[in-house]
Amino acid sequence: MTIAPEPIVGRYYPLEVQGRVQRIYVETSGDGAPVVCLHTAGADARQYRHLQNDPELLADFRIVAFDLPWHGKSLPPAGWWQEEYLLTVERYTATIMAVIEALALERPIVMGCSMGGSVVLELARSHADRLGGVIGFSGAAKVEGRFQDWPLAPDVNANQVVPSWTAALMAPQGPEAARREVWWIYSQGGPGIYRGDTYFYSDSFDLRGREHEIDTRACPVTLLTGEYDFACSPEETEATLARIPGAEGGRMAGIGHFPISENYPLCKTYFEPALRRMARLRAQRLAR
Amino acid sequence: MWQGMVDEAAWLHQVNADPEARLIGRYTDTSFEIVSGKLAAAYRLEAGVLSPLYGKARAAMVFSAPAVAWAAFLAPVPFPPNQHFLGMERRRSDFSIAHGRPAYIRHLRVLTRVFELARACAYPAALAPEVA
Repeated sequence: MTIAPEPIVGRYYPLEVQGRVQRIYVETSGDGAPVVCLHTAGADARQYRHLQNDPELLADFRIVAFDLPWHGKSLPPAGWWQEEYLLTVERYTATIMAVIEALALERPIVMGCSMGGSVVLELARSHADRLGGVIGFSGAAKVEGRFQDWPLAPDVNANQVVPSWTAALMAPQGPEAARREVWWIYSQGGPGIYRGDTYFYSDSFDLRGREHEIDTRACPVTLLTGEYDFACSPEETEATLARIPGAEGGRMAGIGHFPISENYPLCKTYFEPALRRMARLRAQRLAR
Repeated sequence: MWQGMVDEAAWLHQVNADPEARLIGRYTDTSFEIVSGKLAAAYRLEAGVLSPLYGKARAAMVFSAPAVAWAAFLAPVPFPPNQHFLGMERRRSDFSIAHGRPAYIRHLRVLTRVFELARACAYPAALAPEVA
Protein backbone atom coordinates (compact mmCIF):
# COMPACT_ATOMS: atom_id res chain seq x y z
CA MET A 1 0.00 0.00 0.00
CA THR A 2 1.33 3.40 -0.90
CA ILE A 3 0.59 6.50 1.12
CA ALA A 4 -0.06 9.78 -0.65
CA PRO A 5 2.37 12.47 0.45
CA GLU A 6 1.30 15.91 1.56
CA PRO A 7 1.07 18.42 -1.31
CA ILE A 8 3.97 20.54 0.00
CA VAL A 9 7.12 20.49 -2.14
CA GLY A 10 10.39 22.11 -1.04
CA ARG A 11 13.29 23.51 -3.09
CA TYR A 12 16.44 25.52 -2.37
CA TYR A 13 17.13 28.77 -4.21
CA PRO A 14 20.52 30.51 -4.17
CA LEU A 15 19.39 34.14 -4.15
CA GLU A 16 21.45 37.29 -4.07
CA VAL A 17 20.18 39.65 -1.38
CA GLN A 18 21.98 42.94 -0.80
CA GLY A 19 25.06 41.66 -2.61
CA ARG A 20 25.26 38.39 -0.72
CA VAL A 21 24.15 34.95 -1.87
CA GLN A 22 21.66 33.33 0.48
CA ARG A 23 20.53 29.73 0.12
CA ILE A 24 16.82 30.01 0.77
CA TYR A 25 14.47 27.10 1.33
CA VAL A 26 11.03 27.53 -0.25
CA GLU A 27 7.97 25.31 0.08
CA THR A 28 4.99 25.50 -2.27
CA SER A 29 1.62 23.81 -2.53
CA GLY A 30 -1.59 24.36 -4.45
CA ASP A 31 -2.35 26.06 -7.71
CA GLY A 32 -3.77 29.49 -8.41
CA ALA A 33 -3.26 33.01 -7.14
CA PRO A 34 0.14 33.13 -5.40
CA VAL A 35 0.27 33.76 -1.66
CA VAL A 36 3.68 34.36 -0.09
CA CYS A 37 3.76 33.50 3.62
CA LEU A 38 6.15 35.05 6.14
CA HIS A 39 6.93 33.30 9.42
CA THR A 40 7.32 34.91 12.82
CA ALA A 41 10.51 36.01 14.54
CA GLY A 42 12.82 33.12 15.36
CA ALA A 43 10.63 30.53 13.68
CA ASP A 44 10.33 29.06 10.18
CA ALA A 45 7.90 28.21 7.40
CA ARG A 46 6.56 25.14 9.17
CA GLN A 47 4.15 27.55 10.85
CA TYR A 48 2.17 27.55 7.60
CA ARG A 49 1.81 23.78 7.24
CA HIS A 50 -1.90 23.88 8.05
CA LEU A 51 -2.56 26.47 5.37
CA GLN A 52 -0.33 24.59 2.94
CA ASN A 53 -2.40 21.45 3.47
CA ASP A 54 -5.84 23.06 3.27
CA PRO A 55 -7.55 21.53 0.21
CA GLU A 56 -10.21 24.25 0.05
CA LEU A 57 -7.60 26.94 -0.43
CA LEU A 58 -5.11 24.88 -2.44
CA ALA A 59 -7.74 24.60 -5.17
CA ASP A 60 -7.56 28.34 -5.74
CA PHE A 61 -4.20 29.46 -4.38
CA ARG A 62 -0.52 28.63 -4.74
CA ILE A 63 0.81 28.87 -1.20
CA VAL A 64 4.52 29.76 -0.97
CA ALA A 65 6.31 29.74 2.37
CA PHE A 66 10.04 30.17 2.86
CA ASP A 67 12.57 30.14 5.66
CA LEU A 68 14.42 33.41 6.04
CA PRO A 69 18.22 33.06 5.97
CA TRP A 70 19.44 31.91 9.42
CA HIS A 71 16.09 30.13 10.00
CA GLY A 72 14.83 26.58 9.51
CA LYS A 73 16.47 24.99 6.47
CA SER A 74 17.95 28.25 5.15
CA LEU A 75 21.45 28.12 6.56
CA PRO A 76 23.22 31.35 7.50
CA PRO A 77 25.77 32.62 5.00
CA ALA A 78 29.47 31.82 5.39
CA GLY A 79 31.08 33.93 8.07
CA TRP A 80 28.02 33.89 10.29
CA TRP A 81 30.13 33.01 13.32
CA GLN A 82 31.78 36.41 13.23
CA GLU A 83 28.72 38.62 12.91
CA GLU A 84 25.72 39.59 14.98
CA TYR A 85 22.41 38.74 13.36
CA LEU A 86 20.13 41.79 13.30
CA LEU A 87 17.26 41.94 10.81
CA THR A 88 16.57 45.37 9.36
CA VAL A 89 13.70 46.75 7.30
CA GLU A 90 15.95 46.95 4.25
CA ARG A 91 17.29 43.41 4.51
CA TYR A 92 13.89 41.92 5.26
CA THR A 93 12.08 43.57 2.35
CA ALA A 94 14.95 42.82 -0.04
CA THR A 95 14.81 39.14 0.90
CA ILE A 96 11.06 38.89 0.39
CA MET A 97 11.22 40.64 -2.97
CA ALA A 98 14.12 38.38 -4.05
CA VAL A 99 11.96 35.33 -3.40
CA ILE A 100 9.03 36.85 -5.30
CA GLU A 101 11.31 37.61 -8.26
CA ALA A 102 13.03 34.22 -8.22
CA LEU A 103 9.71 32.40 -8.40
CA ALA A 104 8.38 34.88 -11.00
CA LEU A 105 5.28 35.48 -8.91
CA GLU A 106 2.92 37.95 -10.54
CA ARG A 107 1.31 40.29 -8.03
CA PRO A 108 1.33 37.80 -5.15
CA ILE A 109 -0.69 38.35 -2.01
CA VAL A 110 1.70 38.49 0.93
CA MET A 111 0.63 37.11 4.29
CA GLY A 112 2.80 37.51 7.37
CA CYS A 113 2.63 37.01 11.10
CA SER A 114 4.22 39.05 13.89
CA MET A 115 7.31 40.63 12.34
CA GLY A 116 5.88 39.32 9.06
CA GLY A 117 2.62 41.01 9.96
CA SER A 118 4.41 44.31 10.33
CA VAL A 119 6.69 44.07 7.29
CA VAL A 120 3.69 43.65 5.01
CA LEU A 121 2.90 47.29 5.77
CA GLU A 122 6.31 48.32 4.45
CA LEU A 123 5.79 46.10 1.40
CA ALA A 124 2.42 47.72 0.73
CA ARG A 125 4.01 51.14 1.08
CA SER A 126 7.09 50.56 -1.07
CA HIS A 127 6.11 47.79 -3.52
CA ALA A 128 2.38 48.25 -4.08
CA ASP A 129 2.77 47.91 -7.85
CA ARG A 130 4.27 44.44 -7.43
CA LEU A 131 1.71 42.98 -5.04
CA GLY A 132 -1.89 41.82 -5.06
CA GLY A 133 -2.52 42.73 -1.45
CA VAL A 134 -1.21 42.07 2.04
CA ILE A 135 -2.61 40.34 5.12
CA GLY A 136 -0.79 40.93 8.40
CA PHE A 137 -1.35 39.08 11.66
CA SER A 138 -0.09 40.59 14.92
CA GLY A 139 1.43 43.59 13.17
CA ALA A 140 1.28 47.35 13.59
CA ALA A 141 3.11 50.50 12.57
CA LYS A 142 5.14 50.23 15.76
CA VAL A 143 5.48 47.40 18.26
CA GLU A 144 7.33 48.23 21.47
CA GLY A 145 9.33 46.14 23.85
CA ARG A 146 10.15 42.87 22.13
CA PHE A 147 13.87 43.43 21.47
CA GLN A 148 15.71 42.20 24.55
CA ASP A 149 19.20 40.86 25.25
CA TRP A 150 18.46 37.99 27.63
CA PRO A 151 18.27 35.35 24.85
CA LEU A 152 22.05 35.67 24.57
CA ALA A 153 22.79 35.57 28.31
CA PRO A 154 25.10 32.64 29.08
CA ASP A 155 22.95 31.49 31.99
CA VAL A 156 19.74 31.37 29.93
CA ASN A 157 18.85 28.19 28.06
CA ALA A 158 17.36 29.96 25.08
CA ASN A 159 16.03 26.82 23.44
CA GLN A 160 13.65 26.45 26.37
CA VAL A 161 13.12 30.06 27.39
CA VAL A 162 12.51 31.64 23.97
CA PRO A 163 9.67 29.21 23.13
CA SER A 164 8.19 29.61 26.61
CA TRP A 165 8.45 33.41 26.30
CA THR A 166 6.59 33.41 23.00
CA ALA A 167 4.10 30.69 23.98
CA ALA A 168 2.79 33.05 26.63
CA LEU A 169 1.26 35.08 23.80
CA MET A 170 -1.21 32.37 22.80
CA ALA A 171 -4.83 31.88 23.87
CA PRO A 172 -4.88 29.14 26.54
CA GLN A 173 -8.12 27.65 25.25
CA GLY A 174 -6.68 26.95 21.77
CA PRO A 175 -5.88 23.41 20.59
CA GLU A 176 -3.06 22.16 22.80
CA ALA A 177 -1.24 20.14 20.12
CA ALA A 178 -1.04 23.20 17.88
CA ARG A 179 0.18 25.43 20.70
CA ARG A 180 2.83 22.89 21.63
CA GLU A 181 3.93 22.77 18.00
CA VAL A 182 4.47 26.51 18.05
CA TRP A 183 6.63 26.02 21.14
CA TRP A 184 8.61 23.22 19.48
CA ILE A 185 9.39 25.23 16.36
CA TYR A 186 10.70 28.03 18.55
CA SER A 187 12.91 25.62 20.46
CA GLN A 188 14.86 24.97 17.27
CA GLY A 189 16.00 28.48 16.45
CA GLY A 190 19.68 29.36 16.36
CA PRO A 191 21.29 31.39 19.15
CA GLY A 192 20.33 35.06 18.95
CA ILE A 193 18.06 34.63 15.94
CA TYR A 194 14.80 35.36 17.74
CA ARG A 195 16.48 38.38 19.28
CA GLY A 196 17.84 39.51 15.91
CA ASP A 197 14.37 39.28 14.36
CA THR A 198 12.83 41.30 17.15
CA TYR A 199 15.36 43.98 16.29
CA PHE A 200 13.29 44.46 13.15
CA TYR A 201 9.96 44.08 14.95
CA SER A 202 10.60 46.51 17.80
CA ASP A 203 13.50 48.69 16.68
CA SER A 204 14.26 48.94 12.97
CA PHE A 205 10.62 49.12 11.85
CA ASP A 206 8.62 52.22 12.69
CA LEU A 207 6.01 53.34 10.19
CA ARG A 208 4.35 55.88 12.47
CA GLY A 209 3.61 59.08 10.64
CA ARG A 210 3.94 57.42 7.23
CA GLU A 211 0.90 55.14 7.31
CA HIS A 212 -0.88 57.45 4.86
CA GLU A 213 1.75 56.61 2.23
CA ILE A 214 0.03 53.23 1.79
CA ASP A 215 -2.45 53.30 -1.08
CA THR A 216 -4.94 50.51 -0.46
CA ARG A 217 -6.45 51.03 -3.91
CA ALA A 218 -3.13 49.87 -5.35
CA CYS A 219 -2.45 47.26 -2.66
CA PRO A 220 -5.31 46.22 -0.35
CA VAL A 221 -4.36 45.85 3.32
CA THR A 222 -5.92 43.66 5.99
CA LEU A 223 -4.52 43.53 9.54
CA LEU A 224 -5.79 41.05 12.13
CA THR A 225 -4.60 40.63 15.70
CA GLY A 226 -5.70 38.13 18.35
CA GLU A 227 -7.13 39.41 21.59
CA TYR A 228 -4.65 37.34 23.66
CA ASP A 229 -1.68 39.00 21.98
CA PHE A 230 0.05 41.23 24.52
CA ALA A 231 3.11 41.85 22.33
CA CYS A 232 1.15 43.63 19.62
CA SER A 233 -2.24 44.35 21.10
CA PRO A 234 -5.44 44.54 19.05
CA GLU A 235 -5.66 48.18 20.06
CA GLU A 236 -2.26 48.88 18.50
CA THR A 237 -3.28 47.15 15.30
CA GLU A 238 -6.58 49.04 15.25
CA ALA A 239 -4.73 52.33 15.71
CA THR A 240 -2.63 51.52 12.64
CA LEU A 241 -5.72 50.56 10.64
CA ALA A 242 -7.30 53.88 11.51
CA ARG A 243 -4.40 55.70 9.89
CA ILE A 244 -4.46 53.75 6.62
CA PRO A 245 -7.44 54.82 4.50
CA GLY A 246 -9.23 51.76 3.13
CA ALA A 247 -7.42 49.24 5.32
CA GLU A 248 -9.55 46.52 6.89
CA GLY A 249 -9.41 44.07 9.77
CA GLY A 250 -9.23 44.31 13.53
CA ARG A 251 -9.50 42.07 16.56
CA MET A 252 -9.77 38.28 16.49
CA ALA A 253 -11.54 36.72 19.49
CA GLY A 254 -10.22 33.60 21.20
CA ILE A 255 -6.76 33.60 19.65
CA GLY A 256 -3.29 34.98 20.31
CA HIS A 257 -0.09 36.08 18.61
CA PHE A 258 0.34 33.04 16.32
CA PRO A 259 -3.11 32.69 14.79
CA ILE A 260 -2.11 30.88 11.60
CA SER A 261 -0.39 28.11 13.56
CA GLU A 262 -1.89 28.14 17.08
CA ASN A 263 -5.47 27.74 15.86
CA TYR A 264 -5.68 27.47 12.08
CA PRO A 265 -9.40 26.60 11.80
CA LEU A 266 -10.38 29.67 13.82
CA CYS A 267 -7.85 31.89 12.08
CA LYS A 268 -9.15 30.83 8.68
CA THR A 269 -12.60 32.19 9.48
CA TYR A 270 -11.01 35.63 9.83
CA PHE A 271 -8.57 35.74 6.92
CA GLU A 272 -10.30 33.72 4.18
CA PRO A 273 -12.82 36.43 3.19
CA ALA A 274 -10.00 38.98 2.83
CA LEU A 275 -7.83 36.55 0.90
CA ARG A 276 -10.56 35.72 -1.60
CA ARG A 277 -11.48 39.38 -1.97
CA MET A 278 -7.86 40.24 -2.76
CA ALA A 279 -7.68 37.37 -5.23
CA ARG A 280 -10.74 38.69 -7.10
CA LEU A 281 -9.25 42.20 -7.27
CA ARG A 282 -5.94 40.77 -8.44
CA ALA A 283 -7.63 38.78 -11.20
CA GLN A 284 -9.51 41.87 -12.38
CA ARG A 285 -6.29 43.89 -12.43
CA LEU A 286 -4.36 41.25 -14.37
CA ALA A 287 -7.22 40.92 -16.89
CA ARG A 288 -7.01 44.60 -17.84
CA MET B 1 -1.87 31.08 49.62
CA TRP B 2 -2.90 33.64 47.03
CA GLN B 3 -5.15 35.14 49.73
CA GLY B 4 -7.20 32.01 50.05
CA MET B 5 -7.90 31.78 46.37
CA VAL B 6 -6.11 28.49 45.78
CA ASP B 7 -6.32 25.21 47.65
CA GLU B 8 -2.63 24.99 48.47
CA ALA B 9 -2.56 21.27 49.28
CA ALA B 10 -4.35 20.47 46.04
CA TRP B 11 -1.94 22.67 44.07
CA LEU B 12 1.14 21.05 45.57
CA HIS B 13 -0.31 17.64 44.80
CA GLN B 14 -1.24 18.70 41.30
CA VAL B 15 2.26 19.95 40.53
CA ASN B 16 4.03 17.04 42.14
CA ALA B 17 1.86 14.49 40.34
CA ASP B 18 2.16 16.21 36.98
CA PRO B 19 4.39 14.24 34.59
CA GLU B 20 5.34 17.33 32.62
CA ALA B 21 6.28 19.40 35.66
CA ARG B 22 8.37 16.54 37.00
CA LEU B 23 10.10 16.08 33.65
CA ILE B 24 10.96 19.68 32.90
CA GLY B 25 11.65 20.62 36.51
CA ARG B 26 13.98 17.78 37.43
CA TYR B 27 17.16 19.90 37.31
CA THR B 28 15.53 22.91 38.98
CA ASP B 29 16.26 24.32 42.42
CA THR B 30 14.64 27.70 42.91
CA SER B 31 12.07 29.50 45.00
CA PHE B 32 9.39 32.11 44.58
CA GLU B 33 7.02 34.19 46.64
CA ILE B 34 3.46 35.14 45.80
CA VAL B 35 2.37 38.43 47.36
CA SER B 36 -1.28 39.43 47.43
CA GLY B 37 -1.88 42.64 49.29
CA LYS B 38 -0.39 42.17 52.75
CA LEU B 39 -0.35 38.39 52.47
CA ALA B 40 2.55 36.39 51.12
CA ALA B 41 3.51 32.76 50.72
CA ALA B 42 6.76 31.29 49.46
CA TYR B 43 7.56 28.00 47.75
CA ARG B 44 10.55 25.99 46.69
CA LEU B 45 10.74 23.98 43.52
CA GLU B 46 13.48 21.40 43.77
CA ALA B 47 14.02 18.47 41.42
CA GLY B 48 10.51 18.92 40.09
CA VAL B 49 8.91 18.88 43.54
CA LEU B 50 7.03 21.90 44.87
CA SER B 51 6.86 22.51 48.62
CA PRO B 52 6.24 25.43 50.99
CA LEU B 53 9.32 27.49 51.79
CA TYR B 54 9.55 28.29 55.47
CA GLY B 55 11.93 30.58 57.32
CA LYS B 56 13.38 33.97 56.55
CA ALA B 57 15.38 33.14 53.46
CA ARG B 58 14.38 35.43 50.63
CA ALA B 59 12.84 33.70 47.64
CA ALA B 60 14.67 33.92 44.33
CA MET B 61 11.74 35.79 42.83
CA VAL B 62 8.70 37.70 44.06
CA PHE B 63 5.43 38.19 42.17
CA SER B 64 3.14 40.86 43.53
CA ALA B 65 -0.43 41.83 42.65
CA PRO B 66 -3.75 42.60 44.33
CA ALA B 67 -6.39 39.93 44.74
CA VAL B 68 -8.33 41.14 41.72
CA ALA B 69 -5.32 40.50 39.47
CA TRP B 70 -4.70 37.04 40.88
CA ALA B 71 -8.39 36.25 40.44
CA ALA B 72 -8.09 37.20 36.79
CA PHE B 73 -5.07 34.94 36.36
CA LEU B 74 -6.70 32.00 38.14
CA ALA B 75 -9.90 32.04 36.08
CA PRO B 76 -10.45 28.72 34.26
CA VAL B 77 -10.22 30.55 30.93
CA PRO B 78 -8.56 33.85 31.78
CA PHE B 79 -9.35 36.98 29.87
CA PRO B 80 -6.38 38.49 28.03
CA PRO B 81 -3.72 39.42 29.04
CA ASN B 82 -4.12 37.40 32.24
CA GLN B 83 -3.26 34.06 30.65
CA HIS B 84 0.37 34.48 31.73
CA PHE B 85 2.46 36.46 34.22
CA LEU B 86 4.33 37.98 31.25
CA GLY B 87 1.09 39.31 29.82
CA MET B 88 0.12 40.78 33.18
CA GLU B 89 3.54 42.34 33.55
CA ARG B 90 3.26 43.91 30.09
CA ARG B 91 -0.31 45.14 30.22
CA ARG B 92 -1.40 45.46 33.87
CA SER B 93 -0.14 48.25 36.08
CA ASP B 94 -1.08 46.39 39.28
CA PHE B 95 1.12 43.32 38.63
CA SER B 96 4.86 43.27 39.10
CA ILE B 97 7.79 40.94 39.23
CA ALA B 98 9.04 42.72 42.31
CA HIS B 99 12.27 40.77 42.54
CA GLY B 100 14.21 38.22 40.55
CA ARG B 101 13.10 38.81 36.97
CA PRO B 102 16.30 37.21 35.57
CA ALA B 103 15.63 34.12 37.69
CA TYR B 104 12.06 34.02 36.40
CA ILE B 105 13.30 34.19 32.83
CA ARG B 106 15.75 31.34 33.48
CA HIS B 107 13.01 29.15 34.96
CA LEU B 108 10.23 30.29 32.64
CA ARG B 109 9.41 26.90 31.18
CA VAL B 110 8.78 25.02 34.38
CA LEU B 111 7.24 27.94 36.25
CA THR B 112 4.74 28.49 33.47
CA ARG B 113 3.57 24.94 34.05
CA VAL B 114 3.59 25.29 37.84
CA PHE B 115 1.46 28.42 37.78
CA GLU B 116 -1.02 27.25 35.18
CA LEU B 117 -1.68 24.15 37.29
CA ALA B 118 -2.94 26.45 40.06
CA ARG B 119 -6.00 27.26 37.96
CA ALA B 120 -7.42 23.81 38.52
CA CYS B 121 -7.06 24.35 42.27
CA ALA B 122 -8.63 27.79 42.54
CA TYR B 123 -11.70 28.17 44.75
CA PRO B 124 -14.53 29.22 42.41
CA ALA B 125 -15.97 31.54 45.03
CA ALA B 126 -12.66 33.38 45.29
CA LEU B 127 -12.56 34.37 41.66
CA ALA B 128 -13.66 37.81 40.64
CA PRO B 129 -17.36 37.94 39.76
CA GLU B 130 -16.67 38.80 36.15
CA VAL B 131 -14.48 35.73 35.61
CA ALA B 132 -15.96 33.12 37.98
